[in-house]
Amino acid sequence: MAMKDQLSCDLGGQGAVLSLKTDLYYELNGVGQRIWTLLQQPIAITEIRDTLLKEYQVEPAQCEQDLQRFIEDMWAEGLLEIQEETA
Amino acid sequence: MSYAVSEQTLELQAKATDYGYKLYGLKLSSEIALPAVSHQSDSYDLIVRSGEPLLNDDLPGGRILATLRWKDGRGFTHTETATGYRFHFHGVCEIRSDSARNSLTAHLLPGASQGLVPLLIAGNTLAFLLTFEGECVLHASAVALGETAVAMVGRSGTGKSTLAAWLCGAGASLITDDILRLQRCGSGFQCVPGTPYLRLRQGATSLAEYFPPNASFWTVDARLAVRLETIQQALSLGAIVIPQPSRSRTDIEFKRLRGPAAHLALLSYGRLGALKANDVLSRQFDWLADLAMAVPVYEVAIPWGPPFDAHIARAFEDMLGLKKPYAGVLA
Repeated sequence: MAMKDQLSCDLGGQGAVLSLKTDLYYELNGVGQRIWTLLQQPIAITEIRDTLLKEYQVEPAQCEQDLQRFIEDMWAEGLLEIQEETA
Repeated sequence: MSYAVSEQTLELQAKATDYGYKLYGLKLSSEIALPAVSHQSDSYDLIVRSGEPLLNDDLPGGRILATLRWKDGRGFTHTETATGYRFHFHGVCEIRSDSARNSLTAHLLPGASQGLVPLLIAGNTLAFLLTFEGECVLHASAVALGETAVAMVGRSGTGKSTLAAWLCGAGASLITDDILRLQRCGSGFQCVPGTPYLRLRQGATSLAEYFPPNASFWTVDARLAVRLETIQQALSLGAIVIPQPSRSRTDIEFKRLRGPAAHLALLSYGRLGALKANDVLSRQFDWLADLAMAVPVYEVAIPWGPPFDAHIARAFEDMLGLKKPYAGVLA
């Protein structure tokens, strides 16, 4: 889920995230903003994938690949906290 | 100093000799003369008092809400304590609010002159007081073209006041200089009237010629100020412009910023860099997101001035989409 030390907002279909640690500002496109909204609470990546597949016309493999990259990028920027799923 | 209850009760009574003002939508009663529009009222939002000098320039205690220091030692540190806000201006004064936030008392620091105190109360202090209280405040000047307001946003020295002065000289009316309080109005925003003074930078003092000779005077911080008649009702904000003066340009060009680009610009040119409390920063972040969505934001590449060519006034009217009788108001 999203770290607490950031601010984010919806800007008419796009989005923005401001890191309070680094003062860096990130622009999100429509899909990125949708994912970020879902990440405001603890959620399984598979659940995000399933939501996106319902809401957007996209091949499952492409969706999974793009989602994985988004999650990795945001985690690398220190904006996400990732926990291993427990059985 | 502490704020005993008995002192508070006494302090909150406006004295007959006080000045009455209206500034950023607040009704003020002050024993210190302020650069604001006179306004007498039966009740006031804020009482301003002159207090005892302080013995040292120690940082105020409490939670730091905002701070900014320059290399030469100037700057400010504003905190929140159990007894209210403390607006500390290093080397000059500390202005303290009471816990109910309805009085301000100014205390000079050792060796400081009181000349800057009125500017700091009417400027930085009220801007941050409103910000801390969750209001939307921009580092901006604003003028009215007909019944529509345009705000100039930007870093210090980028021509906000210069452009505002020139537009006023061309027929616009001043709403405020340097600090702009905004209020939500329907799906948009409206500008709340502020100070009636425009403070001109060196190099822009020739703009004073547009106004009556007795309207100009030098301030204690060596700026030429012009006192103007200001709009006294809140006006709908039609556009926000970010002046980008250029010595190589001969024409004016408006570039519309949208979505995150507009939001980032408003964040960059505000006073947000000084905010250290995440709760305060979060509220301003949200305000500016709403503003970026509701009001067109433009970067304006503008020829260096003054003097400015008359076609610049037309360009502003066109940008705002003014129709008669307001189109052509600017000379």
